[in-house]
Amino acid sequence: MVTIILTINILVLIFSITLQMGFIFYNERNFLQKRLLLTAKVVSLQTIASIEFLDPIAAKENLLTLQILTEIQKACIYDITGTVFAFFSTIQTDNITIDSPLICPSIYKRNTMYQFDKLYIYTDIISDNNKIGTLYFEYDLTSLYESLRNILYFNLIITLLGLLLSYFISSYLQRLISKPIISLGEITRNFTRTHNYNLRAIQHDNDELGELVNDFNNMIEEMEKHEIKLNKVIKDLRNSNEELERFAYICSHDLQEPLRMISNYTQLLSQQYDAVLDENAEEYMGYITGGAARMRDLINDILTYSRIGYTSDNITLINIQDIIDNMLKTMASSIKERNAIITVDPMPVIHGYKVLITQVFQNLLVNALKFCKDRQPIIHIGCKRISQGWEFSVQDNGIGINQLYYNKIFEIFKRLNRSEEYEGTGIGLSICKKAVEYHGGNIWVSSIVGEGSTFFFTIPDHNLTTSK
Amino acid sequence: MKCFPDNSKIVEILLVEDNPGDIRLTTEAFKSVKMANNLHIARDGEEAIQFLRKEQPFEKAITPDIILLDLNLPKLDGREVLEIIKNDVTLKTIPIVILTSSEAEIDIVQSYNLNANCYVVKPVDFIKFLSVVQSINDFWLTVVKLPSA
Repeated sequence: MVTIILTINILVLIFSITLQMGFIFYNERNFLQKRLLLTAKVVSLQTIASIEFLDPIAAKENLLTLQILTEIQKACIYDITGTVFAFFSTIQTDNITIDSPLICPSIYKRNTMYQFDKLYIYTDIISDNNKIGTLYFEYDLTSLYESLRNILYFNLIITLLGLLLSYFISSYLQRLISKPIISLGEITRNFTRTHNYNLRAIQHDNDELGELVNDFNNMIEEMEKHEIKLNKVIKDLRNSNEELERFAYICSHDLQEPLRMISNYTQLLSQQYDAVLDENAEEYMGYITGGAARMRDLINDILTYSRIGYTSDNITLINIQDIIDNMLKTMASSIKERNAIITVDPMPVIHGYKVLITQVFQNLLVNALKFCKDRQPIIHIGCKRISQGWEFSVQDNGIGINQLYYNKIFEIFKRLNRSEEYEGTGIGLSICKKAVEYHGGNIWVSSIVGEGSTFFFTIPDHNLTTSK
Repeated sequence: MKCFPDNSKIVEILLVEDNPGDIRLTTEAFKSVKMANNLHIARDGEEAIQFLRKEQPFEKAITPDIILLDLNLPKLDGREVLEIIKNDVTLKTIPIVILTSSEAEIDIVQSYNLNANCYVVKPVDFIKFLSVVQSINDFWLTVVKLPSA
């Protein structure tokens, strides 16, 4: 920043110095020229008498008055014919040029002429409106140029000194301004690294920077309060998670015990007291064991549902093709039993929780097979690349779902059919929904009643997943 | 393939179980498999250890050929019993079958980490329970060659 400002300064100064020097040079020369012409006029008037009386000695004496100006090195008076009438030269060796009468007419047209470091002045000597001769002298410009050069040097030195001074002042000021900013930056970096809430920036002044430092300190204080709050929430959440885990354990163990007693002893009863019990008793006992079995399924499903999100499983690269192949293998007997036709698109390798994704495909396939009771199931498992993820689909030709229930079917324990018709706890789709949403995706259905349903779900690319 | 065709040998089984219903069920199940067995019962973990170490009041106890161990027991629980047995030089060769209603993964993993020989979930269905007992019988008492006590 400082360098840019200094460069601009230097350019402006150079420009102004150039202009100034040009102006001085022009002015000085003009002034000199006027002065010399006036001098020439005065001398020429004085020489009129000596020319008219043909007195070269007097003329020379007149000429010599020009010597007061030391820069005048040569002076000459020509008569009307152009012949040298009188002259002087401070340069001894230079007689010849002055003697030559030819010099005079060739440059005579103008009163002044510049040649290198010389200024030539010509003035007509006029008496009674008649030209009787010419006064000529040479003015040495070296001293003028020298004084101009001195002015230039002086200017340059002053400028240079000014620039240096301004450089030092501005860098001092910059340090003065940026020092608190740099220290604030250091503290910010330090804070980001260590998360030490005791760090505070030091406030030097009450100016804008001081305010900024103050704001920064307030921000850290607020963040500390926020983190304390957050930690409390995390702790509470952890406690409630642990409680949930305990609850899940109780479900899986303690609730199963009485169920086992009920069903096992009912069966034992029917086995060992077959002879004593009548048909009614057999039927009732059937309900008892059936109820117990259903209760067990419900408990297991709630467990599965509540454990989504507490899985120790990590996001890994999973080959969906493998998952589907394995699933079709394990379900081969029920697929064969139903004589189902299942087609599968080429499947990708994606990032996700393997257990959950497997559950989703499995539940959807089980449903697809289940709700095609009266016909041969034709099922297609599809896959489509969408922006920032994958969309999978499971299509069947089953009984279909009324549009009214498109959202209801994903609710836990929601069933649309009587359990005698279609068995199940009504939790499969809730598990699918929770598992898909855990990946940051969506699940939905589109269906025509009597013709079939297609369940769609999306799994976003891993780097875009917001959850966890 | 039977390595142990010696039918005259009576298999000594220690069942560590607190629930009387389960004790009765297991008793019934072992009655129905055609195998000479002697079922001993310990009602909690402490009793089980006393039985195995032949401490009072089990001075006359017989070292069992196999132990069926429930995980959730009063006093010492099943995991602790398992740990004690597997760290005892004289007892650690006795095969232990964990027989429990818990399907929790953590219980299964923990049991195997404590060197349980087998983990069986008690089925809700009695017929299935019978087949489990049958397979315990087949696997541990006939197919597997156990070191003689």
